[in-house]
Amino acid sequence: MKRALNKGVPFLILALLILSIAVSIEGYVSIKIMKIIDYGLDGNMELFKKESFVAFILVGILLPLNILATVTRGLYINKSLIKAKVYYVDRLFKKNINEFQEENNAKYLSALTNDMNNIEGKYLIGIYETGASLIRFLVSL
Amino acid sequence: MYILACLLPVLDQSLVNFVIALLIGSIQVGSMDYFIKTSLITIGVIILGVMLFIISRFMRISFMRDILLEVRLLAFDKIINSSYKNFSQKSKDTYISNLINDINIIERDFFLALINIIYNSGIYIVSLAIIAFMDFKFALISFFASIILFLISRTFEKRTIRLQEEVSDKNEKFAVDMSNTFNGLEILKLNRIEDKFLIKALKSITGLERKKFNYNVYTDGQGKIMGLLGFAFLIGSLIYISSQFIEGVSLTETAFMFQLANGCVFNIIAVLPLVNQLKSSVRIFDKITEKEEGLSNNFVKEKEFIFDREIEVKNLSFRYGEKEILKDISFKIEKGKKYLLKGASGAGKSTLIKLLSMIYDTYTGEIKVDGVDYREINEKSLNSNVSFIYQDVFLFEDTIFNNIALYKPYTEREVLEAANKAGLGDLLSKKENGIYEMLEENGKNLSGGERQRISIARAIIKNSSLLFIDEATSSLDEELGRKIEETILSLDSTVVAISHRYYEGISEKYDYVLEIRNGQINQYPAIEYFQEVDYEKGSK
Repeated sequence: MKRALNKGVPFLILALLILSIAVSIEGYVSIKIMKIIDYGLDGNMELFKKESFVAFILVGILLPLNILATVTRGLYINKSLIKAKVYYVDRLFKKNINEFQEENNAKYLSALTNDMNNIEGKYLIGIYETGASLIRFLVSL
Repeated sequence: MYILACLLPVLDQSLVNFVIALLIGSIQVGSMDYFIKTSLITIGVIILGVMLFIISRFMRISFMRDILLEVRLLAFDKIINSSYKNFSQKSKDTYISNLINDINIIERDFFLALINIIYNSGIYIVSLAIIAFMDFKFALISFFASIILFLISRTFEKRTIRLQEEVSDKNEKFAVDMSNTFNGLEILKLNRIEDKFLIKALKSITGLERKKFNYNVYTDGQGKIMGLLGFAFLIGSLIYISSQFIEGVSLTETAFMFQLANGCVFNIIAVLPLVNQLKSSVRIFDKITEKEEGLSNNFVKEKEFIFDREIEVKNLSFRYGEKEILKDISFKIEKGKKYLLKGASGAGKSTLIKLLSMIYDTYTGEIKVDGVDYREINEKSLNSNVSFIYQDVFLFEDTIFNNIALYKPYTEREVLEAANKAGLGDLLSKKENGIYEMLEENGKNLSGGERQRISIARAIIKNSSLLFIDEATSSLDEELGRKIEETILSLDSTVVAISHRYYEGISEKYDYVLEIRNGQINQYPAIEYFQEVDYEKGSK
């Protein structure tokens, strides 16, 4: 099963790569906000407006990037889950009749619904969120 | 309690905002004593925050557990209490999907959305109230900005709900597809067509995941768009707050205002997509718990099924769409008699049993039991007085005892007596645990005859006044079929049976044969009927 889930890793890398670009720009926007506050507190409205404009542009760039990050995150979960479910069903189909009948059909169905929900929520999203937190930590540093 | 639990972090967040503002303000004050004092207050607030978090978490978890249990019970109650007619309109796997996937959706989306809505709304209201106290004009601007954001968010609502419903529907379809495939895998393998079904299963998986992907991207995307709009408002707030600072407002006050503006905007932005998510979860909740309206008439079904004399069928007609199955038929079923339904395949024999057992009620004419109209009789009352024996017997993965008693509080003596009357004595004597022997999934470890005998034992122990039998012996060999038929005819109950089989010397024990031909019904004494069949050497 783990091998099947690992097939989603290229999508995870892509998702985290795009997220790291988005988080880097977000970090840069934070620096800009810091400058905006400084200029605002100094009463330097000219630089304040200039930095605000740049920040707006950056946020404008962030929108498609963030949406792309959402799409790639979704793709990672989607592809990994498809691989895992296909792997599981394929393995069931390869069992001979006696092996297949050793377990109740409800167990197979539960594996494809409940267990896969757990894999999605606690494993796949968990890995992504760990990577995302690490990226945010590194950008903050 | 749950709302209080979600609001505890609001108190914590407001205090954190305040102490951060104090810390920033201490730079302007420039006194070490003041800085140490504010630092100690900050530490105190942090410790309080940890305690509030733990308390809030415990309160929330117990509430979630109780509510989820309640949702599961409501959903299960809906399924269990739906009429057979409503229940049979969907595949049983659809109900399984409701109990698994839809409740998972509620657990994941509803509670996550609800907690964040309460928390973020709390922050929003508290922040707005404090801003209003400090600067009413700024509070008004913030309020209108949040109204605009709310209206923008509303545009996403319908699609979010639709996408969530699509996920739920696909989950149902997926459960049905997979269950069908698993149930029929043996046949698929024996006929070497499993590859075809594997491809179908893979398509089903891909279809479901695509719907989930669409929903997730759409809801997350909403959050990002709203975030951008929030940022635009924040820059506007900064311009205003900076101008206030230039006019002489203290750094502590300015920093506090800025944090409050942040709380005001970003928390309301976080709330809006969650409201859509919450609404879509509520729709799922309604779908799995709302009782379905009965399709039938305006009759009040409060009378009891009491069968002491006869069931009278008068001028009964029934049609499936355009096809008229029964045309103005009339006959009587007398208490204690045995009736055999005969007729060609598709003549309407099973339909008649379904009409007599209240599964169908869209007929014209009358069915009366001891003079009481069927349409006025409570379905539960009928079900507790009748039993069914079908060709396929469903057996629970449980002991023989529970499969006969069907989880009702019968004594061991009563169950054993029913089992022996049904001819299960031999089977029980061979089993190590006797009546407490475990059956495998749907009784895989029993023969066809043994399965039928368990079904008969169920009817015996229930002491049903009326027994409906649909081709109970058709899948059994001649000898076993004779024995089962003999057992059925020895019961005290009134029997209405369908059977294509003729068991010489046994079938004659029926009192009457009801023959359906061209939508009409004719009643014959069984002995005469079978003599005539024998004489003509063919069907009548």
